[in-house]
Amino acid sequence: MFFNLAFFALVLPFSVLAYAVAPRRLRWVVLLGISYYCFYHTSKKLIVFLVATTLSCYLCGLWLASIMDKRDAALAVKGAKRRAVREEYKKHMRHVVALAVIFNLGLLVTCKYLGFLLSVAEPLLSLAGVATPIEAPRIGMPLGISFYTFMALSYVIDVYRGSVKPDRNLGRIALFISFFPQMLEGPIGRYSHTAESLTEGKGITRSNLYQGTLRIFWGIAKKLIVADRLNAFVETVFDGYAEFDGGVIALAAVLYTIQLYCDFSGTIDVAIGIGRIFDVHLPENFRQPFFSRTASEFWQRWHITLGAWFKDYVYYPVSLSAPCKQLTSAARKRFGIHYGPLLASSVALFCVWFGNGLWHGSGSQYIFFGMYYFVLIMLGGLIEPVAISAAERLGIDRDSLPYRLFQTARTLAIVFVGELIFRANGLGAGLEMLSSIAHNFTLGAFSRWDPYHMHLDIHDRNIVIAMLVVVFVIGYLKEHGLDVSAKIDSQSTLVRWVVLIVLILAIVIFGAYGYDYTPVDPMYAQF
Amino acid sequence: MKKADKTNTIKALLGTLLASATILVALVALSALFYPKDNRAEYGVHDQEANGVLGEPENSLDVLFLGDSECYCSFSPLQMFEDYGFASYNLGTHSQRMYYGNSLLHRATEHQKPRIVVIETDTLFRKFSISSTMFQMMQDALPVFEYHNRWKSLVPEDFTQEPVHTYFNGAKGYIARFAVNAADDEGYMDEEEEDEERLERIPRLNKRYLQYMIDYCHSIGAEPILISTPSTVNWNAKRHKAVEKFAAETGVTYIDLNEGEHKVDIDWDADTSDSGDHMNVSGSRKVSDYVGAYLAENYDLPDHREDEAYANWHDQLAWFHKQVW
Repeated sequence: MFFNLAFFALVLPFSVLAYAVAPRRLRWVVLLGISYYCFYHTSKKLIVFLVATTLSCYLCGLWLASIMDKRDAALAVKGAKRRAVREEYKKHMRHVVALAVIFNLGLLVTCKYLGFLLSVAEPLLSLAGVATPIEAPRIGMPLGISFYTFMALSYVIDVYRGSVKPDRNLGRIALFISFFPQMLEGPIGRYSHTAESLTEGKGITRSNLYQGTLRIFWGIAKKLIVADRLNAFVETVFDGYAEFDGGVIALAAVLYTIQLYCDFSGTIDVAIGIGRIFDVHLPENFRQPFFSRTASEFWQRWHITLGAWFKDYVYYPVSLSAPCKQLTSAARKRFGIHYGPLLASSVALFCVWFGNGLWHGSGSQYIFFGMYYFVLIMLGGLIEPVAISAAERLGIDRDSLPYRLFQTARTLAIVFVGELIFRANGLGAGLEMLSSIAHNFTLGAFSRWDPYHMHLDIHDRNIVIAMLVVVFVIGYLKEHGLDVSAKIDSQSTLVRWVVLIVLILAIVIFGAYGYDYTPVDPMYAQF
Repeated sequence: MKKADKTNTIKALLGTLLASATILVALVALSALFYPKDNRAEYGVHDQEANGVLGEPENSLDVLFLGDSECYCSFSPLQMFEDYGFASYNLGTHSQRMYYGNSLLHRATEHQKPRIVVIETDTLFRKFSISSTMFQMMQDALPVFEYHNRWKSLVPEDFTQEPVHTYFNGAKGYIARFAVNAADDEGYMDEEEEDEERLERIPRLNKRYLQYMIDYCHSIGAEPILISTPSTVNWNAKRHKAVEKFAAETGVTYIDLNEGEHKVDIDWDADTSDSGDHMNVSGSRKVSDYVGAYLAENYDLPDHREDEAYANWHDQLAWFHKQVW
């Protein structure tokens, strides 16, 4: 239903039209109806999972509201022991949040990890005399369950924290969780950020329509011109890596990273563009990640909403928990002001990266991927003082262009290795591919390149490079404060239309679709 | 609405219309540029064998065959010409979906007036999405969507030359398979007891397309016929029942060569190239013989064997005898 011709040519125009002609107070109903239609069309009866998540979070929100009302009433009584009262009600509220978390993560685990858990449990069950193997029931995966579950839980936790008021409008909660542009791959929105604009029912303006449409086609261009074009080559090398030398495998790792970026950020552009048409400002999920100077910075620029979710709902709760605070205090005394808190925060960081890896799937490569970044980010923190003093002693200006370029190149190498592991068909395959790069790196394959078998000819190479130059320039300008999209929107009507028409025609001519290509589903939709 | 708002809205609408018209004009111009200038593979044409029909003289074909690989491996137009005299063309293509079959049918009937259109039934069970049909419509209306990848091979002549169709396929779309791999045909058309009342559903979209194609055939004066070629892999009792039901409801002739009165005597040890999936040369001879005889007997098809205009069919037959048989 998403990211296909029927969606863009039928569902989306119909949605815009229906939204525009509907009375303002009913516009959110139009969006909710279309969102549920799209979800049902894709996931059929698995829509019960979405309904269950929505109802559970809505009811938990109301439950929290009722506890808060009681708490406020108790606090209003003269002579009440305020601290004790607060603690008592906070405990109740925590139980409600725990219930919501357990229930919804339970649904997520049931759909996504049950097979994996059973395979892990099998040896134990076998020892206990239970007949194995146990076949996992085939439930299927509701569309976007990993994304909407996190969004739904963030609402409940935000209500508990008091940063969001409990919503008594079930429709608004349902729309926040199921809003159709973000159902496929996010971004993982927050209630405080999007819920109000979803139900405001603002009209469709010329500027929003243009900017939204431009963003949609920009996303499609990145996906169709670059990502889908690289898919056949990447697939060939990753599926048959034993046939290739390290040089080709290294190229595949680089091109996979580019493919994933253009695919994922392109799909997010489409989601944000659609939201923009309805004047719903969805959060950005990418901020020029390849300009990052460290692995840690990379993750503040790549899949931003997932990173922010883990930071707010895992990192802070763990690092601010009583045991962790005690650990920080003890470590500070023993290891000093830099290493003490760093070592203590490693517990929270471990939880974040283990969760991040697991969120992508139960495959060993995903867990390893998470641990890879955990170790690297920890190492980065540990050696930072040493690196600073070494640079000072050697007279290296850490803000100079060459040093910044070195840092960026180093970060890119780290990212390419990480994505290789992430894409590999299992951890073993990933490690073998890395070993091949280390021990069997030659450039021989490039001199006897067979475009037919490698699915990349000189024209493909040129068009990918040309498009990446455009992506780079736009990113560079944005990095330096110039938003090209806003700049275009401020131009004359003629210029704006010319830009859009050129973009559309570029997609038509240079897109990797149709007879010579296999369609590629948005890559993050599988997670 | 304020006057200024009204003016802005009208301006925006006019701007959108103008931009849409510009895109459309650009796509029409690009379609002319990208459309292959000859119906040959080296000019960028896809499915050259099927598109060879464009190189056939106008109104020279009596029968068209549509379908997937079951079709192009089973029906040999040259053999039918040699034995029964009518001229046919096989428009079968690899994994042909109905929307593409429909497109080929329209493409072929721009210059041909067939009396019979045979649809091989394996294609009825190949699922497809509404997006695929929409995309096919776009490709048919604006060929730049089909041939856009020719940006890699454009030459100066593409900007000036009008398209011609100089290629015609020697075997008239039929593709011979020479391999022999025996099949186990034990009970492939048997009805399992629990499935007695069950039939495999023809997907809803396929059914609509089939009905549309049938109506189109009638509108151009052609008789549509459904034929199931022998295949132990692709055919079974449930599919037979589904097509039989559809044919009964719509009044279309249905012939199943796997069973019943039209069963063709296939030697499953010798007549299949890939363990019952497709007919090989030997199997297609039997199928073509039966279908050719059936069409010649039941429909008033002309005999072109003595017709001077069909002299090159005899040349092709000589080549066919040498190369295929």
